[in-house]
Amino acid sequence: MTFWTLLLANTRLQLRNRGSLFWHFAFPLVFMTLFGLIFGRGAGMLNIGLVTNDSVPAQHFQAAFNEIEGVKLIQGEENTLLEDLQDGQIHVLVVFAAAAAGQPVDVELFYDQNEMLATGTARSVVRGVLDGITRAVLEVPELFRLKETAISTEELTFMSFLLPGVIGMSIMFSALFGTAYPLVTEREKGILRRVKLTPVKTAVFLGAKAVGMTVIAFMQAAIIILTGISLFDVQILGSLFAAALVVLLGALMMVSLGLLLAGVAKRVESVDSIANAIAMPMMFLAGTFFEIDGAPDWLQSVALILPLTHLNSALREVLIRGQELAAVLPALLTMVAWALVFILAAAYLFKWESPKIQGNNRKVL
Amino acid sequence: MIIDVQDLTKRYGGLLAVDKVNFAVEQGEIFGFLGPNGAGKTTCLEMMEGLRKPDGGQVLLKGISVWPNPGKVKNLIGVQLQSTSFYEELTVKEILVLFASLYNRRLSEGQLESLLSMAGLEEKRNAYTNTLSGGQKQRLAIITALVNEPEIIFLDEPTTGLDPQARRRSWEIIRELQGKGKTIILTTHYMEEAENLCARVAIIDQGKIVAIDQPQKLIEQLGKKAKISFASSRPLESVFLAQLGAEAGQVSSAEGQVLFASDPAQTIGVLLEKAKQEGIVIHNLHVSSPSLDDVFLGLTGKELRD
Ligand SMILES: Nc1ncnc2c1ncn2[C@@H]1O[C@H](COP(=O)(O)OP(=O)(O)OP(=O)(O)O)[C@@H](O)[C@H]1O
Ligand SMILES: [Mg+2]
Repeated sequence: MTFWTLLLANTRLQLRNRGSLFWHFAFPLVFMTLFGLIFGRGAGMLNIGLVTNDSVPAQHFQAAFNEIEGVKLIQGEENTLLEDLQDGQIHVLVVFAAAAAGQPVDVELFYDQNEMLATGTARSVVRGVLDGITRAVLEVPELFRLKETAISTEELTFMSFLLPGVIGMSIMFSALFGTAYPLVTEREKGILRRVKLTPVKTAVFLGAKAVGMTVIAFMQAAIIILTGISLFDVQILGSLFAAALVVLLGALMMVSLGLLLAGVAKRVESVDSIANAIAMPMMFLAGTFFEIDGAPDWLQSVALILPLTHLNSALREVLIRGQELAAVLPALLTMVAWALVFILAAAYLFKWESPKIQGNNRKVL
Repeated sequence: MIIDVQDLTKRYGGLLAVDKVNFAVEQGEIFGFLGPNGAGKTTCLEMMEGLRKPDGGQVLLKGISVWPNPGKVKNLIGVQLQSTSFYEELTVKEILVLFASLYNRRLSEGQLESLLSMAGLEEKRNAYTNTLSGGQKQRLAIITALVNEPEIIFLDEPTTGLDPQARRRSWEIIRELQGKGKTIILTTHYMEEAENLCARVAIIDQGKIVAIDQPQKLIEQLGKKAKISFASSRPLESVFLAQLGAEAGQVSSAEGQVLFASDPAQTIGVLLEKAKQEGIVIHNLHVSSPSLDDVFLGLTGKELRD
């Protein structure tokens, strides 16, 4: 009963605040739409250079690409195509090396590091196609992936790649700000001290906040998925139940980080700067908009441990690539681990009152 | 004796904010803490509420020791903190329902109604708290302290910053609570508030209780003397004052010089005559009966508000 009243109050607080309404719901939609208009269908062909050796995989590659809208294959000599790449005429260059039968084919990929977005898309498209081919051909002995895995080439449009990233990003921003901001404000205003005088359990009080933010995360995911399907032809291959579990874990992980942030930030103003300092780099490094495998190795290793990386990749695997939950178990476990770390640190750092509020608060404020 | 405070002490670094405070309050009493800024009123109250940990002494509420486990008295007490802030996006009614739920209570429509009418907020039940006036906010804070039907109510400066009319409105609420048998302990900077409301007041200065009694008794300590206040063109020398047959009171900035005289007519006559001889001009001459303000000034050498 205490819990439900708290949950209701928290939800009211979030929904009655124009700022948080915008950040929770309008912002991800604006984001999706803008990216869709700029990079989505029709807008700018992806030019992919191809050097083949007439091997079977290369032929499959060619065939697969002819089916994809918005991608133009340009065949030619390696040297001329490399120059084209440098001139920006093509986004990536794929070179199939000659290979003996039964051996994996060496495929070399060239791209322009400065063109992160376009080449990122092109590269994920190429990678997806190659994945598809290996599955189709299955002549390569060291490939053990399941034959049934549903992968269609169409799903790998930029919007398909982007959609799970936008969900992950939105959950991160909303949970971080939506948890830390109200808590630090309540602490500064002395509301938390007042609450501390009541017999409510800390776990119930904070738990209601966590659950409230998780509900918002679900609403965000639903809105983004619906927009993706209706406006950008994104195909959702995976089970929504599996996706919901990923969203749940992701939201709890980010809310825990938000609680930790509320313990670290002494004042409301520092919530902004700390949250942005955490979220902004993470947003880019976690493969929200494009894969970062063009980045230096050390940076990639950093990216590999980031919480958002696992949320994004699990969402992408489940929603877009149609994987089972079992296939993303490592990512799920990593999220649980992060959540535990954040919760423990938050419990250690959480304070009911700011030093400022004690005593003659009226004069200090 | 529903409240029993013994040797309560709090230190902030080198500062002794509350210094071995002792007092007791009877059930149904309105007990006032009177003291200037920084005297230690809030610190003392918050140690009794279980919000700040004392460095010494103990607090018994209805025989239960607040420390080391303040959780035990949470259902016994209602608290209005010195700074009153609410969730701005919630309405008056939602605030009351929320706080009741924090005590695991559901407010019945009747309880809600009687709380709102006590505070005169019936028409504001659906108003967001940031649209309330200062007085309405203070009254909301008071009734929020009542949602758990506490026996002991702590009010930290319930009327500071309010105009006289709003202040009287709050007094009515406090009296109504007393009528219901609640024990109330409040802090104030206002003498009339203490004189009007409190059965007994403790005058606290620099963390110590310097006097504790009924307001009328405290005033009588000054004797049945009249208070003569005036301003002079030159400060009067003490020899001069000695000849007036009156004792000099503490000089307070607002009033100029203050004398307490048992025969005011005689003292004023001598004063004016001497002043004339010395070429000193006396103006703003007043005769009045002493108030708690004067007691306070006499005891602490300070005025209540700075
Ligand atoms: N958290 C704190 N840390 C350090 N010093 C404090 C703290 N809280 C209060 N003090 C100091 O302790 C003394 C007593 O403060 P307190 O707030 O109890 O006074 P008060 O009588 O309530 O004053 P006011 O009438 O202004 O509210 C003051 O000198 C104050 O500066
Ligand atoms: Mg105070």
